[in-house]
Amino acid sequence: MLKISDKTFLVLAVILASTTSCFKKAPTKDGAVMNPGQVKAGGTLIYARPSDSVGLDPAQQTDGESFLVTDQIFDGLVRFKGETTEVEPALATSWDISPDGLTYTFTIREGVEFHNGKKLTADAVAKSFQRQQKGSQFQYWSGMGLDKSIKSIAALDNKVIFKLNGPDASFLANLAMSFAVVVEPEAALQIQEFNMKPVGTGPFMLKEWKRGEKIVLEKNPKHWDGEAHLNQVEIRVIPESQSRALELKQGNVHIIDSPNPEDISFLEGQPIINVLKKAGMNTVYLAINQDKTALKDVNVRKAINYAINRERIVQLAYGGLAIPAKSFLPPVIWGHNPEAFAYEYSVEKAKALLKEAKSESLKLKLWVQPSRSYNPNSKVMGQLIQEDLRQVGIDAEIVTLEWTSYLAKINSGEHDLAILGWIGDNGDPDNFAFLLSSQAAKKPAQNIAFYRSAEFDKLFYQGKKETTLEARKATYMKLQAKAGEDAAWAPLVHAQTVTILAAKVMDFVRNPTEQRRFHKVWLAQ
Amino acid sequence: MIRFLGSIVFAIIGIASVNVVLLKYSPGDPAIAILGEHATPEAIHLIRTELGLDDPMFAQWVRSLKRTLTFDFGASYRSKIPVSQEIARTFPVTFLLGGLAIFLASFLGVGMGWWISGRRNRWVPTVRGLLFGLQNVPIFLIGLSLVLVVAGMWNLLPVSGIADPSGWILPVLTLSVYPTILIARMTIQNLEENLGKDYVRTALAKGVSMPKAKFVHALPNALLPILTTIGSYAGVLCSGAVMTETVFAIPGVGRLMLQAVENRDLPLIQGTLTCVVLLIFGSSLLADLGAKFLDPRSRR
Repeated sequence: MLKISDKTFLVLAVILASTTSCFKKAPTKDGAVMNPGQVKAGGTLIYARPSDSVGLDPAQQTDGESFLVTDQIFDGLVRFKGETTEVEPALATSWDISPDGLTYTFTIREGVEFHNGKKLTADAVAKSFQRQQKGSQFQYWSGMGLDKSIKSIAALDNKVIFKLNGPDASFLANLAMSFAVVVEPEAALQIQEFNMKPVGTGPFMLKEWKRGEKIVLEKNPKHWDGEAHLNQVEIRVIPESQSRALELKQGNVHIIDSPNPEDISFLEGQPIINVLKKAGMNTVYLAINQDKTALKDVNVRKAINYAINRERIVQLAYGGLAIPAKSFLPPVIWGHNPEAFAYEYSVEKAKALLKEAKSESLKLKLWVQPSRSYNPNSKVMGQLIQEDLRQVGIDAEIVTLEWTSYLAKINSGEHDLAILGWIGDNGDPDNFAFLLSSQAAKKPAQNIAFYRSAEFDKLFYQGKKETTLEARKATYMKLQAKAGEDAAWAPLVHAQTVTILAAKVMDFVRNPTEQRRFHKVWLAQ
Repeated sequence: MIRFLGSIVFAIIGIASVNVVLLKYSPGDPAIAILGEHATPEAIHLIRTELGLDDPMFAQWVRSLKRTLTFDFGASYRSKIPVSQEIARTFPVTFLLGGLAIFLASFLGVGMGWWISGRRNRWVPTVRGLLFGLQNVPIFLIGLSLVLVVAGMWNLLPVSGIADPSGWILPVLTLSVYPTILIARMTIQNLEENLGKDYVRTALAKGVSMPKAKFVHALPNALLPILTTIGSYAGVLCSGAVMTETVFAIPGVGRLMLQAVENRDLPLIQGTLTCVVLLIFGSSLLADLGAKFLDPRSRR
């Protein structure tokens, strides 16, 4: 019923939009508006999103809506630089990595205070991390494998020393993530309380939280990196996408996220609105289950890669808001190899390969995931792929399931082909390469292609050990080429993320890791 | 009364059982819903043990029953906040929303029914047609259309939220559409039935004017069944509240319930469900008592 009325409403909206003169067309502006001159301080920024934060202790949370708020309240030892996935100093002014890659020594910034007036010391930083190392409720910490890779955390004078069990080149990137920030260790002892009354060092402090309605942040006048331009940030919950769009159009809110494609075209024509389209740090892929006899032959997997018309998926399933994938690693991540999966759309090549493999009439089960943020029209995508496969003589039957059951069953390898996506965590290539490592192919598996290649694994571990960016880049280039050669997946698309903001919002930063920062945002007149 | 209490007991056992059965047979693992798709198998196992999801069904049923009876559903899986606290926060909002809607619907419905019944002019068929037509429009669409026109195009009222008191107008209006139609229909039916009865015809024959006959004689008799209808309608209102609260961004029980279902947050589902059932029982009990009070025959 929801679906139908949604659609009916859209028809209505379109009719209204086309018959009223108040909707004027204007050229669309692309990209963030950066204006280094005359910054205007003051004012309240209003941000609208579909649902509320779950909790505000970043260590206990795993969802983007919680991190949107905690990213403003807390700082990490290091942070992602602007809109890149490179790491720069934050609460640590510098760091040393021992030659064996096992010891990381961070020098803690002097003169920083928590929101409750306590001083930031090396001891407080160490305690903040030890808390996550000990507790079982810190899902993201253990999810990223930090509990296993860290041997010890200790404070010495103004330094914090991490000792690792083995070299892990993505360690720094992990520390720049939203869950790995520094909390005020004493306040954080009250674990439930801290979820509602967070204390950090960040550019904003929590002022008010009306659950299900709004969160109000006010600026921290003592922030080490200069106080924020805005006096306040109000983050409102507006579940209905159309209502968010309407509020923005009326000027009641400044930024909205998770817009429907229809809202985007509706708002793109408005003169006072900017539509910010960014390449997303995600990959949507078709996993080809190599534990199934029919799919063991590399020619069959190559044929599937050739058979899929990715351009058409971009147009019909994303309305253009995606780019065709040429590798398992999205282009926003350093080390991306644009020639890894060099499979252009070609029915002839696919048919020839299938003929060579003597698999001209394959019957497969195509598992289609329920819609996710990176795959909003998954059903359409499934049907397009089904049709593409039929063109080359593969009879694919679509299987759909509710999300958590879907995950559970593909993790145990019930599918032949399965559509799934991965949103990068820390902006490190290792985070994506993991999905094709043998290590992840143990059931319940995250490597749902069940691709096992000794050569790939060798490169995968080599990438973890190398300490220079150049060396790692070269390794990951080779690694991607290897996966492409073996047609381990059929990478499909990288979805774009869309933020829509009022034209007067300046210097808004949305990092590829989805961290959004209001620190330097200001409102022009 | 005894039958009423009996049905409450039955309902409580029902809620407890439905929860256990839903948990067992509905697709989806709450552990994955809590942890997200990047969760490790160890973490999933840990959470399942912690929540008692792998306990035998009977043990889960006893636990579920105990929770319903004591109104202590534990903490929400997702927010870790006690469910009772979440309900205490959202219930007043929904109660006010529903109360206002029923109040408005009673006046509008009885008024419309009053106006239509016994009247024959060229507008009556149109109004009737509109009323019955509107009944088939999904509440979601009604709400969104109101937002788009009243708030979006005319810029008269807030689009969403209840930060400003005027923000209540559209949601209350939206939620009152169905009960208004229902009450109007009941009023028309009962009034016209009574207008055809001998006592009204006698009054009219004695020279009492039509409006007076309708108001003084027929209406009180017609109101009784309407009251019962309003009482029994409270449940349907709850489902309307889910939609209305979502469209207008109102932090009420309805939206809490929807989120609970989306996140497979079982304690929260159980809590909100119990809350709704109690509301339905409460309002039909009130309607029964009210009817008894108004009807001289049942007071004897």
